[in-house]
Amino acid sequence: MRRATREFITMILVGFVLYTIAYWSLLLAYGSNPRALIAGIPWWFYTLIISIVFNVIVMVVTYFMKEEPVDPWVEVKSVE
Amino acid sequence: MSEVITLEERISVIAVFTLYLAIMTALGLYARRVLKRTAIDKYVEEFYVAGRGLGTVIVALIVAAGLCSVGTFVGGAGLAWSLGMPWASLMGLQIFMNFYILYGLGKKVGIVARRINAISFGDVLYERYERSRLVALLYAVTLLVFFTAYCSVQFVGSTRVFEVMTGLPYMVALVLVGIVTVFYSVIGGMRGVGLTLVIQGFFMTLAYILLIVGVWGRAIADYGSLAAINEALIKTAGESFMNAFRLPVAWLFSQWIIFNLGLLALPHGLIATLTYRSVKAMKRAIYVGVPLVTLWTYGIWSALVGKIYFPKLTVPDHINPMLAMTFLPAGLGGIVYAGILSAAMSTIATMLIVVSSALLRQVYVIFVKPKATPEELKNVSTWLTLVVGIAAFLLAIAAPPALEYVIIMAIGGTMSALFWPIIGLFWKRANKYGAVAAMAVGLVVYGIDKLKLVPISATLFYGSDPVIPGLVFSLVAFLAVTYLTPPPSRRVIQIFWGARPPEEGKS
Repeated sequence: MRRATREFITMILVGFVLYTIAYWSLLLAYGSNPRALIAGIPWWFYTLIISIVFNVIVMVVTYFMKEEPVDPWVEVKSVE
Repeated sequence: MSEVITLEERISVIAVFTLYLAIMTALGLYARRVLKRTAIDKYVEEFYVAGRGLGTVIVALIVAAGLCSVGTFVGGAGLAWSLGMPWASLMGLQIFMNFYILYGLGKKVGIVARRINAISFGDVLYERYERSRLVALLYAVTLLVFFTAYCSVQFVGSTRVFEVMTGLPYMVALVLVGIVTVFYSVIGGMRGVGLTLVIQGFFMTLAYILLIVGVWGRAIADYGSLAAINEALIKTAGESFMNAFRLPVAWLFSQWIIFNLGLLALPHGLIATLTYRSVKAMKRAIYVGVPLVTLWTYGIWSALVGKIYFPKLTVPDHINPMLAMTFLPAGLGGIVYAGILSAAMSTIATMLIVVSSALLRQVYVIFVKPKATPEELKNVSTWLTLVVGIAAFLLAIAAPPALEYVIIMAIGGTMSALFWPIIGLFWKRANKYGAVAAMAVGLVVYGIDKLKLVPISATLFYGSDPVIPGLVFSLVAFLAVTYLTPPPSRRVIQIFWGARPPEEGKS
């Protein structure tokens, strides 16, 4: 259960806080300039790039999620 | 470009539509056979959470296809076409729904659900908040009000498109889609819904792949580069169309909150945490779901580019069907329609199951007949699903005009009521008094602000959506009332944080 709480906090930190900071930094920097280009590509395509980068990050974080049994009282059973 | 559809295209849509509904019906009948073999004392668990035995693909699609509704395929595309960059620049907002729900809540809710034999997310909240009848009632009322409206716009969105693509009256499609969706939900339960989700997820993915290839391929061929497409959009619709901050930042950010964190408060996505077979299946459901939702959501950009080819449309929500009929070879338009239909039907079906389970467990068992027999529960679960389906269908006949705004309202209202009590699953000090206060205050503040009885968001929150004041006031009520009242019982702590079962009689 403690691990589940840690995972919830990780989810908020990676999936919401860091992602929102990265995404909105781009949006606030270029969003009001319709003709803004970054390396010859319209700025809004970089929201897709950021999303893909975070897709990868999220997969990596998920990879390290511990695969444990979800039996109701498994810790007690294992001790007994 | 004109909005004229050829006879060949119309026939292809009708053929795909008929075949699609036949497949959905067959899958519902198959699920019924599984359900019939279930022992009577396990029937309700099998009906609502498929015996907690669902694997990777279905769990992934309960979240992804359940939450990506007709909003992603019709309403959201319509908003991108009509609002332009203010909406199109927010496409990253909902892509991590599988990660949020399954990684963030999945393990805890999955374990607790097995401890208390939960069949609805309301059961988890009810147990967490010390079997408070008020928590149960507020949960059920919230779902009944907002989700029935949400379901009705799904019916409308998908069948209005049928009218555009075939020329036949949309009531024909509405009646057929209504009958088939309610049929397979009622007779197949969650297993029936899960099986149909696999086919629906396939069509949703194929539909957006076809649209992306067709529309972007044509635009690149016509203009040569992404920068030139951007310039063409400015030339067609004006500079302000491509200015993300033409609308207030507070409004944009509140949409980000609604479709991002707000997804954590939507029980038709959260039901996935009650149904998965193992953590391994749940993890894989994240791997499958996140890229799929990313594809579906960014697929909406096709509608933005569609502005170049269809600068004027009578109904913005028609943009994706028009693009499909114009840029795809005859026959493929029908597949795009199957994708749109899938988005709607998958959401309606999961919502019917979720609202029905809430009415069964949070209203019928708690308030009407606490000692109902398994046979009675079996019958009531079937009837409740049918009644909710018919109610949503009847509401759809009234045909709400702007789909996406009803969806925003439904998610905003549910989030204002349920978000903090759900976060309370991870806060030991949270108690039933705080939860009731948070739910009631969230609902009231959101309601009076949305109905413009008191303009809270306009005066205090810089023109944000009413969900922001709803959340802020709900949080204040949650914290204040929680700290002014006693902490939860030892029993609750044992169930939600302990390793040993609580001893009966001890509090």
